[in-house]
Amino acid sequence: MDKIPNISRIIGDIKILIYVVLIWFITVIIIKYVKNRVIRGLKESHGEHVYQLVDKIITYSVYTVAIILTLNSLGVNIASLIAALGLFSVAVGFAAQTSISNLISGIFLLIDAPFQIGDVVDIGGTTGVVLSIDLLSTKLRTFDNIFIRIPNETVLKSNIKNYAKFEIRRIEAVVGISYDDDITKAKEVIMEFIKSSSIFLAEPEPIIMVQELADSSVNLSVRVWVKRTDYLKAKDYLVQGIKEELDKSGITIPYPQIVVHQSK
Amino acid sequence: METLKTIDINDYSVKIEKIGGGVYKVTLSRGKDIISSKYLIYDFEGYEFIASPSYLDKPVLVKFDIPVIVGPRKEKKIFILLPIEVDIIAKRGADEITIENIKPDNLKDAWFGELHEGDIYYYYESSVYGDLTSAERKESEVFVPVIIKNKDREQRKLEKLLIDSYQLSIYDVDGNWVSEKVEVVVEDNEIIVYYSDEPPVKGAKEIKKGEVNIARKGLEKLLKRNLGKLKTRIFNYG
Repeated sequence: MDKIPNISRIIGDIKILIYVVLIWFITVIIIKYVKNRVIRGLKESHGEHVYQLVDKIITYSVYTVAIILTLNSLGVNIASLIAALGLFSVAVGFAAQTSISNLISGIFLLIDAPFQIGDVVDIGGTTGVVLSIDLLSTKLRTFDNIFIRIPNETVLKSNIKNYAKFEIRRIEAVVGISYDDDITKAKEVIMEFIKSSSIFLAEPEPIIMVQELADSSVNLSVRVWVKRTDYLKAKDYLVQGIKEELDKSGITIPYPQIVVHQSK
Repeated sequence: METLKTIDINDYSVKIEKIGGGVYKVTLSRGKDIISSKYLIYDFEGYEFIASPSYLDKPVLVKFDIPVIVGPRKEKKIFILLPIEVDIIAKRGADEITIENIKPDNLKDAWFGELHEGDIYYYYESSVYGDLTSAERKESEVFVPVIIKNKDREQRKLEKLLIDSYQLSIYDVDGNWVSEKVEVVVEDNEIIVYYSDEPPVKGAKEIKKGEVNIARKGLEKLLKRNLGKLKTRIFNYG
């Protein structure tokens, strides 16, 4: 006789099991659909970091709903659970102020978009390539290959230099020549060198001007524009080239001198 | 080993030699320096070896040695020089095989646009000629006939011009490579460049067809109507 309740209980359990499986099956389908169809375009239109962030927000949200539905179907009282979670979240909220601040900063970073994944940036004095912009932190790889995690709140508060924002950059080199040398000739020699080198852009035009009459030298400021990707190579080439060309032309680059007069 | 042909392009020299057994040697040199040397196994019997113009991979910002001044509601025709690459091709009828490529020397890049928004182009300084007879070109250059039409009521000064060389068709005019006419229209503080698809001289032999012209003609055929002149916005005048 008591087999019938057992069978109906088993059928009820199977129904619940099917219901839970169905919930998670639909969850996976929704996440896949959203990833493939809805937010895939974000990667191209708004960059990798926006894509990643939206992806995480949607994934976590869908999972949360799925967990609530699963618990509900298993007979857990969701109302009391949410009430308990409310109290819990107040407690957690106090404890997680920093994380929430970072999370909100992350959202502001997303809106402001001062940099993207792959950009070379300086955030508050730390320079590196942006690896990821996550909900709570931004990750960099420095040029000496060190992994740096910066909380988003810190990123938002810091001065950010983005070296990858524009396609071209200006290089400035200050060259001191002797007071005995011909300034015009020195300018011509340097300009000739710049014009003959294909690494420097023809436009915007390079500029050479007298910057300062310093203690031991007349300082010339040489400003050239280069492609962003050529920056380091061009800087090295510019400074070395100027030195070599001035040497060839007999123009001296003086070093600080002190003239000592000895009384008789 | 039999030397079939030597083609000189600027300071470069391309020597094509027949070794035998269907093997050919192509040597690119500059003065006494050999830049490249390669062996080709192919039956080139009946082929002729010629130099053919080829387009650069980016548009060229051509800066004039002297600015061109055009009075109000006037037009002026000038010739400028545009750098190109030169392909050495083996040709037999419609069959063409590129066996060597020579790029122009010392091509510099230039930024055109605002500092925060623009693009990188090739940069070339060209003299401005009134006619072809007064001009000399290197083998890696083509003459571009430019007609500047000033439709404004003020005098205009043109100092540079951005040319999409790959849009231009190139013609042989008495042994000179000359492109189709380029029309620059200055109107309401704007400059528009039209690539005309008209030969510089009537009956000139076309040796290279501009890519956009090909596309345009294809479209014309497809749509059965005249698309009119293709226009490209450009820039900068003083």
